[in-house]
Amino acid sequence: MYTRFICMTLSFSALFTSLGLGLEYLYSPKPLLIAEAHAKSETAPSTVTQPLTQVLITGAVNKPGLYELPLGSRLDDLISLAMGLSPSADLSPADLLRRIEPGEVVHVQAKTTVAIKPPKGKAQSSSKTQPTKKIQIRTAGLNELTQLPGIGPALAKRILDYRQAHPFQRLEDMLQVKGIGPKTFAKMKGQLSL
Amino acid sequence: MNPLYLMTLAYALGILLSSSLWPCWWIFVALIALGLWRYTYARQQPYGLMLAGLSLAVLLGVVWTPLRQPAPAVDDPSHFIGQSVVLSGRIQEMQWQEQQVKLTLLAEELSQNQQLHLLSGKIRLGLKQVPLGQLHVGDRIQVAGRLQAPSQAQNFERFSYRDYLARQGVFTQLYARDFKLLSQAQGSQTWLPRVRQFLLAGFDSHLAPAQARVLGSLILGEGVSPVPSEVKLNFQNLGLQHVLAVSGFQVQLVMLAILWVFQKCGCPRWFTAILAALSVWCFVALTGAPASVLRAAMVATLFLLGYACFRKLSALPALVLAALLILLWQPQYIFDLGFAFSCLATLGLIISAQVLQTRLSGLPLFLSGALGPLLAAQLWVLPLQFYFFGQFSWLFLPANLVAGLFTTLLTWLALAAALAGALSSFMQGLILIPAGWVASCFLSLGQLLVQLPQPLWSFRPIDLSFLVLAYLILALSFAKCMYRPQLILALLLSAPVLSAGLQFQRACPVKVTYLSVGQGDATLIQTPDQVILIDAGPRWKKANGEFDDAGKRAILPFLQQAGIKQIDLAILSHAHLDHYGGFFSIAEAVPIRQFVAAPDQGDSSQYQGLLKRLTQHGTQVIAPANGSLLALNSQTRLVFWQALHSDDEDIVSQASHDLNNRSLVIQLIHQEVRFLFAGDIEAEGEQALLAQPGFQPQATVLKVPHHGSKTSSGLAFMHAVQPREAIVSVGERNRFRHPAPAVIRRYQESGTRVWRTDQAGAVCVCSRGRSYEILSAIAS
Repeated sequence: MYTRFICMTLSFSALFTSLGLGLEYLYSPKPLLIAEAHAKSETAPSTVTQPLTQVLITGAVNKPGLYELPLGSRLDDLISLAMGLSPSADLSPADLLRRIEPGEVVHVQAKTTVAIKPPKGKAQSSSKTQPTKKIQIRTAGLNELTQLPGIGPALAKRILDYRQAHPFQRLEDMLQVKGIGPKTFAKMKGQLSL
Repeated sequence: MNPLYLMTLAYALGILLSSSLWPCWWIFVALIALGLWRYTYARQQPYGLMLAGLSLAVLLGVVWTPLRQPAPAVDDPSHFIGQSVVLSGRIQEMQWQEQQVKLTLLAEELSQNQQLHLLSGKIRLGLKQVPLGQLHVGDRIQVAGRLQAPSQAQNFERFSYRDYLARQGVFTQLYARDFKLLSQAQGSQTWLPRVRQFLLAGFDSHLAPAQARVLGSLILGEGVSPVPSEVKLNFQNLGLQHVLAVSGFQVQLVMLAILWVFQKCGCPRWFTAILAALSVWCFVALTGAPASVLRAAMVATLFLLGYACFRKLSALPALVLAALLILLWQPQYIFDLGFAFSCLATLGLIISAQVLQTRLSGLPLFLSGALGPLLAAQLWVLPLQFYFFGQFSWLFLPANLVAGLFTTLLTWLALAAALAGALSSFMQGLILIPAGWVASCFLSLGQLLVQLPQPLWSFRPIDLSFLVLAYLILALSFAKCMYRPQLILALLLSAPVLSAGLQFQRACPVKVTYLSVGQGDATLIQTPDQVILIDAGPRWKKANGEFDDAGKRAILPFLQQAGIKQIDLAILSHAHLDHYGGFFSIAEAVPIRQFVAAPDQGDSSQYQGLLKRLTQHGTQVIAPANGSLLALNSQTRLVFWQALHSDDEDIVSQASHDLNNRSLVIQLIHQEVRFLFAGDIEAEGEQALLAQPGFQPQATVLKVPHHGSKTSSGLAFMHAVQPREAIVSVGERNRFRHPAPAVIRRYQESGTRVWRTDQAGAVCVCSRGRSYEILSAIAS
């Protein structure tokens, strides 16, 4: 009597469980894609199959220099490696799509027309890097000092404070100012005068 | 069992399973043939006929549903989705909400680029800040804006707004700031709003707005008389939402009042019945015909039919027949939650109220009499509520007991006041004085109850199979059946087995979900032991000046759905609002044990506020060292990288770019499957990252840096990482125009699959160590 009851209950229960699992399987979202973690070599690009070439870029880009690129890259890619075009760059969109020759030297022309309005924002920061005249560190004010590369208002203030106490004798005295290391100094050395 | 019930059940099953049973319709044709054949050769046995009938019912559901499914017509406005248009049309339906009014507009004309198109289709229109009563059903208005497709389930939710609207035949959505009234509604169309206004205007003039609206919603429903959102929230937290919706009680009231009056006058039965039926359907029109009222009116009509023919109609067949008729007219009603809840609650009242009442006979009579029906209705609604919302208010019992008393009284008072308004405003005011007292008493009592700790429990919504199990158990415990104890025991037994089986079926060693949070990032990592959240999406200011964030909108609902109660580790890549905004809501709702962020993240007041709030909630804030490693288990580890720091000497001067480049970059390595979360780093950050000693850039799945901006994802980085899947976390039509098409193309050209969260919704990657599976919320 009890055996029959238990058998029946268990078999019903098994039936319900399997029905439930089947229902969940039918109605649960299926993965769109199942893939192995490692790509096969023909599907994914690798540095072996795509030889690199070195290209020099100069002119109106934010970081001119020598860059390494896969062969057959576009000029667009090179420019993005060089931190983008500076605002004065004169380049047509069609040029951007052209492929780079191996070992090429790219020079980006700057616009010859003179801008009437001084460029705003980003443009100011780029003009910072190439000031036209040297800065006299013994007399320069706060504004002039901040035009030097790597020097912000805080550091300029510190230079002024230091100058009050110890007047500059040589250019190298700048290294005594707290916050100016050899690297920063080397960068702005060319634009300094006593 | 009554064949009517069986047929209705079979028909409903056919509707529900229509899409999956459609390919094998011939099986049912064969079953019908088999049944008929059995019937002709063995006439004594009714099984043949029953088989044929049931198969026919299922087949009818399967075939009729797609036929009645609304589809966009040739001249539907949905063909202009994505374009900015000027549109004019007639208002068909209106729903007032707190901040805005939602209209269903019957589009008539659409002009786009000076070209005029004639249309005939519905459109869902959202208008902001329109005073109540300025627009009426039937008015013709003109609006301008960009047509949108309604949003789909972005983060694996069970409810999809697009499907919900499509069932009503609406395929297009438009949000407009302003509208132009072309012409007022004419003649026949105006009586509805006039009567509504006539009924409700008196309330507004005599009572405070909250009380007036609650009284209004008691007689005409919430769709007509919108309740302030804080009151609505209170009601929801107490499990009292149904009070604000019109249902059988009001319909019954209207019907019985007419019957009583005309019976006293000695009118013939058929005349009274017709009059009562007419007034019931007028009431349906007044309430805007939500599904629950439709159901009640159908039952009432059937009852009146019986009344006219001197027959007494029993409740259960009436309910089943009413449901069947409504579903035959429009099968899509079965997906309407209001319809389902109303049918189930009534079913519960009919079959289990009496049983429960006798079980509770030990209690005093007034208590058992009130508790029986209450428990019965709630019991039958609960499984569906658990399936869709995963919420339960433990206060529902006391709240409903109290509300039952108040609402009955209030409904009578409100009805009396509305009718008295017809005679004189003074009398209406006189009736509304006690009504106002009772209403404010009721509202403040609700306010008091909500103050109790944790009135609303939220948990993981139950699975579909458990929903079915629960209803089988309910049905068996209140119906006579062969092998009843065995079956109930078997159902109870199979529940834990089923849950274990499901856990095994869905087990996933490392599950990474890239959530769709609009323009921003949020990624959830689940391992068997930890829950890690990387970034939490944006925060924005609403029109009324309050903050809203992706945490509340997307992440917390997802956490609830996944059954997550605690975040072990929250990681912030960098302190921009589109990455940390959602943490504000999450910190309030879910305990976060540790919070990892780079130390040099600026000192914006909002970010500092967040850190303060986190420490207040007991979260430990940690700054990781560059290249530091965190082992999650023996096979899984996290690595933190920060290639650029604020004290670096040669750094680009712009502050915003700084912060992006100083993003924390996180690697998640699970055996051979590697994830890289690149934060918002740009070209400089990528170069610096690649130069880090010990950094192995290869990744299987890459969260594309900076939402796919053109200043990131340089070639060198891409070729070093070699991702197989690239995930771009962006908002639809964002103002930064992310992602850059060139970047997407670059990834695709190198054989990487690109997943955009604005198009694919959330993307879930399940790693199994050597292989992985990907699933997106919106199938392309």
